[in-house]
Amino acid sequence: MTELHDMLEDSVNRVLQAELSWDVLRQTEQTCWSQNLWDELKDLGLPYLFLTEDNGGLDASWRDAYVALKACGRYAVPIPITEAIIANWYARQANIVLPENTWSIVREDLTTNNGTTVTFNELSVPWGRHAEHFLLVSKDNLKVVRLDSNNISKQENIGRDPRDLLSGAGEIINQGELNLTGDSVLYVGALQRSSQISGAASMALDLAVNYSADREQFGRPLSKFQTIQHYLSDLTGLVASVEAITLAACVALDEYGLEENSTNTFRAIAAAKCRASDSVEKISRLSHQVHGAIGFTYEYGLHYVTRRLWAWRTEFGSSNYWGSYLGDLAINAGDTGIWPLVTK
Amino acid sequence: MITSITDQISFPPASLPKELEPLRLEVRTFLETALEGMSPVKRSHSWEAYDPDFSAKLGSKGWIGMTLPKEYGGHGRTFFERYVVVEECLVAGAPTAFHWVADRQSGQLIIKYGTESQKKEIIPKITSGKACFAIGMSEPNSGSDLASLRCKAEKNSNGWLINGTKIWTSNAHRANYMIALFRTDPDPSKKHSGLSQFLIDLEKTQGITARPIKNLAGGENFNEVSFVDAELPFDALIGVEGEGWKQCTEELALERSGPERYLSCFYLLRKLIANLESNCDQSIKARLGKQIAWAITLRNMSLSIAAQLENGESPTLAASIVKDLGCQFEQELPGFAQEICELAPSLEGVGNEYQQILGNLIQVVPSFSLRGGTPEIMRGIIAKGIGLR
Repeated sequence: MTELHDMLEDSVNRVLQAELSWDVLRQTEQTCWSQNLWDELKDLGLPYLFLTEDNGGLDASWRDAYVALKACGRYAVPIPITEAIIANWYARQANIVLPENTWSIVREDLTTNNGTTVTFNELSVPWGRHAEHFLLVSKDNLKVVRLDSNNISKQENIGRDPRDLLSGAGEIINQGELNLTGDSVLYVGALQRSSQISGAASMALDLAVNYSADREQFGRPLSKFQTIQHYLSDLTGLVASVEAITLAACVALDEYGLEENSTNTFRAIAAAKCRASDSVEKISRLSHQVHGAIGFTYEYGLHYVTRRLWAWRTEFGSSNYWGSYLGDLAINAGDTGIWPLVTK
Repeated sequence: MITSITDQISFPPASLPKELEPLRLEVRTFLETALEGMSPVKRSHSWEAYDPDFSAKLGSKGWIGMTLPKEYGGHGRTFFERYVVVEECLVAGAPTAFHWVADRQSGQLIIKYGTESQKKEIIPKITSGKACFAIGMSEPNSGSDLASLRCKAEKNSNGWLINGTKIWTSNAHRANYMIALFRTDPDPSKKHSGLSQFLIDLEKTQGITARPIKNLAGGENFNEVSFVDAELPFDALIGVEGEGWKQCTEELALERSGPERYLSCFYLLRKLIANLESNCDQSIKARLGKQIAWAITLRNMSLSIAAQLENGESPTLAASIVKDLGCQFEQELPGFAQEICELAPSLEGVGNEYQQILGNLIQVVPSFSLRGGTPEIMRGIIAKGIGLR
């Protein structure tokens, strides 16, 4: 493991753990924003992981970045830090520098007027109410669009993270060339969510294990009951498996890139998001079951991760979506091709 | 909570060295010829199909006992090279039961604990695919609670005298050797430390009777083995007297972490795919794809364990997780196949290739979660690993 990887893992988890108490998460849900947290995580350099050291970044690989994305899921970070990390990954690919506070990435082909402005209707922009810019991504071009006058329809997903719809116009203020698959936003987003699911799942597991050790019934801790031990063992295996395949997908992206023909990357990301989304049902069910009614209260914070698990499960493709994708590949591979497909 | 339960369980992504690709292709080509015309049901039995001729052929290629030292007739190759051969055999549905146990664990045990003459005599037989090993562990009254076993070995002036009964011993009726766990100290306070491992030459030893037990599918693979005043030489004790439990646990780590723990039904998956139309319903594709996602995930996890073992680590907890998840995966596959494909399971010789394979596996999968430690035992190990016990 690289030094950067270990350093990131330690520092990011330390800061997020200190900053994101359940109190803070509760308050942030009222306002849907925390300027303090945003400034602090920016100062830590979190959004700039992927940038070169010359541009103030850490030159991180996806395997390095995984620990930060995972930690953001683990501590239910309620601001668009993972989005900003990925926005800067695109900036590096296109060799441009983004304006401060840029996190939104849009894949739709929007109408551009004379190549200088774009107009859009009900464009889904995470934390759009606070966004000043968004990125417009195609396979060969990255545009930075400044949001001018627009209508905002405020909406949140069930994790209470803003998923606003914007209508209006914006000015293209910068652009650069890309050489990526046309579906890059979908693949990168799926890997981002898989990493966050892996983190949120690890928190759900830890909360369940700790609660089972603290809570006594029939004169002994819940953790001493065989049924509970089997739930938690089951949960542990599942959480470990989500991490294993997500890490494998990060390594594939580092090795094979995300270009038109990076089929190894596509396959690995598809497997990761399929497994991550599919495991959400059991991870949330078992972690809640171990907690009993207390886990169903707003006061106890298990829901900060489980509600996000439920939201992230469908974002950037459900297990059915990615399952169909892999099923197609499998049927096309046929009797003798399926094993090479699995081992690629 | 900065430290997480999952910090202690890691599956660092691993990949096989690229230079092993020619070996993989060589094995694949060899298997295509060697398995031509073999019945689909036999192939679906995979590492439970007994075929001395096939094992001898594989041995002559140098693909059994690959990691054992050259000085005793092994091949001194890496665990990764063995991993490639094992994977290809499993995926092709090669009948590897004859040499399976010897290749996976008994050879290593003998190299580690055997006497010089045992190594010289037995290792060449293993590597040439001419030695079949059975493992004598379970007893009629000792299943998951293995350490309660009572089959005893008593030392006398000639060697060891064995009395008792083993059960569920695969291939004991046709194996050349057995490695068995016996009680050498009857003191009840020495439940674990009163056990020792023995290497038994089944061809030379009197007083051992193996009675095959027919399984629900009609096959005769496992046995009840009785020992009545069976006499073993002193050097039949393998390893250290009283450390049989520890030695067995080391062996179980090898037993639990291999690719056979998720690939037992892969041959079925191949034939299922061959029987699905490319224009089949989207929901069927999605369900199939979810199984593929599992297969890809388990391959990554299994390979990570292999890499950790190659590095000299002992990832006991991670290996138990792979066995538990892998077993769920392979055990669910036949039922899954039956649900998404209209073709009914059939008996041997009836219906197409896929139907016969399904017909066999749907019947034998209950054994998958019994062999090598049940899920209940695996989950106990995981619970202990995460601090609940």
